[in-house]
Amino acid sequence: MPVLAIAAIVAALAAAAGGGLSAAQKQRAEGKIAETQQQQAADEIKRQDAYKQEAQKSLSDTLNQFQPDKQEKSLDDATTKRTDYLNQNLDSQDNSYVPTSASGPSVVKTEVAKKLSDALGASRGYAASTARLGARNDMALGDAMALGEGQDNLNAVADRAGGSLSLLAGKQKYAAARYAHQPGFAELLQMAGGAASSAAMSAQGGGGEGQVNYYGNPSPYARGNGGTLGGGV
Amino acid sequence: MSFLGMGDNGGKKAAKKAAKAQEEAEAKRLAGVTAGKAAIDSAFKGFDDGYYQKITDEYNGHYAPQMEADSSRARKRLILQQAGRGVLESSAGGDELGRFQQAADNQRTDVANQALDAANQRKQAVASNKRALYNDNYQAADPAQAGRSAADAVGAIDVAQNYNPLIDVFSSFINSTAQAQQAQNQGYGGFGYGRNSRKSSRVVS
Repeated sequence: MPVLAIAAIVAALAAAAGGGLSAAQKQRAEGKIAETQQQQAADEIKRQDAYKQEAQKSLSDTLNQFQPDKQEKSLDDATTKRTDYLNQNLDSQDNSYVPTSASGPSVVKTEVAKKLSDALGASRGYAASTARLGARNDMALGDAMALGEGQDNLNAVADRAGGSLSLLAGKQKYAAARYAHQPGFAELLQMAGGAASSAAMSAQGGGGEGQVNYYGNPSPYARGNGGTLGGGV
Repeated sequence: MSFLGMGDNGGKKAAKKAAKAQEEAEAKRLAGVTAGKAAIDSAFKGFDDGYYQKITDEYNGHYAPQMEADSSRARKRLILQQAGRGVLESSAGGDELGRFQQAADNQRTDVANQALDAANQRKQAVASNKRALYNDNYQAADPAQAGRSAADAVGAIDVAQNYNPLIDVFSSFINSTAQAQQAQNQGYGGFGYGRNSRKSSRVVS
């Protein structure tokens, strides 16, 4: 058996073996990539879940302030605060002056004093109703501010969650590159086998038109045995 | 790239570098957001309960004396008018003084109430500005910029209040009293004033 024929057989065997190994390696690499990426995704889901819980807690804390009993207390507190301020303002004024002379009839003095006293009572009533109305505004403002702060907290969590999620694509790309199948010995063997086989076939006169190079493309440069460009006779 | 493309660590290294760069950028952004928020909070720390109390006090301090001066003048005029009409020591006069007193007290209440509302308005402006800065900070993640923007916002918020002149509600009170007296003088009874009025010592229920 000619040496070249033996070489061709050996090359063919090597190529077959190389092909088998290569497929297994590729499969392992793809498995590793998938496993890593899934783990990364699972880790990210865990982080996102933690962010979600943090956001839910923040939302609950905010909404908790809107429970009917707390709203009622909030309104009571606001009313008391405003009423105190308004009354304090009224009390600081001198309302004691009654412009009746000492010689005036006592019944008149009593009546005038009563009128002024009634007026003060009415003023206190006005202050109380004004305080109640104002307290509603105080509470509405307090509620709006509490909601705003709750929104700030949610925005902060959403920002961190978004930032974390934005890193996943890069991590997965790296995982794909890290475990991507690299041509190893098996591929070398396969390539070498393919090359040797081609060479052997060419040497045996199997060249000519339709000769392919390693890449499987028709090669105008492949030479046959003693051949001429494009195939021997 | 090595022989026949084997052992190609170039792509792997590039992907690793890119992933690391992204992580570092995100860590830097987060640190920037945190520092930016701290800068905003620091700029706004002056807006505390004491600050809002000061707003209330300033408002009240501006309007209350005006109101008291108007009230005092009007009261004196009212008393003089009553003395001139001879109804000062009458229940009608007392009734009038009582209504005047109530009007003055209500005015005091309104001024004090508006003083509290002025503080609320400022609170609202502070909260709204702070929120806008927080939101900008997420985008910029630049503590220096956040600090500058916060300082600008604080400067714009913390300006002296614009006080409108107080309307003199008491002059209209005196005018209406004078009109009532005029009406009484012209024969329309029931006001308790002037020559058509009953005796000043009569107690009007």
